[in-house]
Amino acid sequence: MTLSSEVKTPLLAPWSELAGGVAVGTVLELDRLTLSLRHNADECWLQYNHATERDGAPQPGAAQSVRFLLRAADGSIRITPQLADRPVVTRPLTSTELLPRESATLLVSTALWARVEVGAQTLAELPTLRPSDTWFGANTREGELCYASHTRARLHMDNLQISPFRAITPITIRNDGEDNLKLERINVPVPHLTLYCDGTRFWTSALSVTRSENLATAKLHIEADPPPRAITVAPPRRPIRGGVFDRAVELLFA
Amino acid sequence: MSSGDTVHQLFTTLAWDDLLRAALLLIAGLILSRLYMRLMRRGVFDHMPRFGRQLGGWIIFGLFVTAALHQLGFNIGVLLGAAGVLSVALGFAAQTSAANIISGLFVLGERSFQVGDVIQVGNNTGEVLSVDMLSVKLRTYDNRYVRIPNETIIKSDVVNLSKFPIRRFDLQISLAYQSDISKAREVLLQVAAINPICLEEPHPLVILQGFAEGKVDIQFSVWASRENYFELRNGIQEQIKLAFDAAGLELPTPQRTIYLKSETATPNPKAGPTQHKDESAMGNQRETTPAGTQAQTPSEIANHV
Repeated sequence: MTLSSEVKTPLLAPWSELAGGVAVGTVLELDRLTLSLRHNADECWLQYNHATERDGAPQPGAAQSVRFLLRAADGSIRITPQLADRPVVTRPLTSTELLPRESATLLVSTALWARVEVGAQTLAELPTLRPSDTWFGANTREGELCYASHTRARLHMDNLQISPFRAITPITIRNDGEDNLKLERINVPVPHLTLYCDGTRFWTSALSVTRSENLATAKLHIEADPPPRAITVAPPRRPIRGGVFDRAVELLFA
Repeated sequence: MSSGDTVHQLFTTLAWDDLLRAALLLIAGLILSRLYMRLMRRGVFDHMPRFGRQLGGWIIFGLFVTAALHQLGFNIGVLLGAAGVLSVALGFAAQTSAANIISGLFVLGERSFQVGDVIQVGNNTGEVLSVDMLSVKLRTYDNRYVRIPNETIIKSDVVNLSKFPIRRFDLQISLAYQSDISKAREVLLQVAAINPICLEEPHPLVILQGFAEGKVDIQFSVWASRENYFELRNGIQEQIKLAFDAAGLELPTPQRTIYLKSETATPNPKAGPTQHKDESAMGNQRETTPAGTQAQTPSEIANHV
């Protein structure tokens, strides 16, 4: 089952109201994103800004304004949650190592994006929390541009904070190598994942990573099945056939 | 024999079918070279410089011209020999052009940059518009069209600013001596942390460069994606100034300390001879002013007048 405006979904507030339609002139606050919308028959104004954190407290950033011209727009403005458009490199707040021949399931969360749509047209995709850019690669010549995030890499659901603006990714890591696997940074391939909601939390497709015995590569598997009682909210931006790909260990962990 | 007779004899000895074959070869050569150049403009070869695409087309056409001449009964060996002599003569006559053509081949082979890259050659920085037979054309940021001979490219340092996806910006900052360096380091790293286009990794660096005249020099190095480099460069300096002001960190203004010699100092009746001697040796610090504005006592001004 996929999300649509006609289906009553177990989406979390405030997404459940926004997916059905947003009243014109509304000013919305989605985590650090402040969004205001105006809409006429053939044009739409979108103004937004991201609060930045200074001295520990969020402060308003510079507002940006965009005007969209549409041919007689049908339907109201809808805002739906999406996953990030780039991989997210998440750093455990404390140094974490996985012992040889052991496995563990870490729970990491990443910020959601808000997709603003009118009818079938997408006006914008804005992060609810603008993460910092970061580089993930073996050196400064080869790698990929990602978003940076920090995680406590919790092992149990009870310790996780519930936020309607973050999605949780369960990552099962198995270390078949002979030495400890240091998890200083974990590259979560978010654009390849599906976004789900079970009515209490947002989830992404689960990941399982097996570090091979030759230590150089790791097999990454993206689970196709949704979590229990969860519906699909957004399909992956860049689907992978079969959901399995091999990557060099340094492209997943560092 | 006159030249008119020679041409007449050539046409009478030539068979018409040879002429037709030669004409067909020329037309085929023309079509194939054009097709080749069109193919190179598309798909995977579209990034190849224009010179590279043209060179292949000329070679194809040249081969067909040679075949057509052979068809007409010309001795190719003699022609090639003549072409060799002509090449030597032309080489002497056009040494600079020949050097540029040869350099162009090396530029192409080396692949240090391609069309669309931003490069810096000498004082010119701009986007590469084309890599041609004799020169490389640039469009600078202030919209000037710059032609750089290939020979100059080969001989100069060429900096390709678009080669790698991320770039580092090094900002030189000076702090007043009385400023807290560790606090400055903390503020700088915080500025980098809250700026979303400043890359978290590679980590920002704060390097103490040394102690200069009236200031401490610091280098602050931050990384950004190539596309965001100029935005970071412009924005982060303002953010640093605001953050320093908020933290009470002082950026130094140039200062000059003036010492007066003992004979111009007013004798202190209470000071003993020893103290007076010390002042003569060390100088008497009177006033600190911004550089270039030396404070003067009324007596000094009177002396100058």
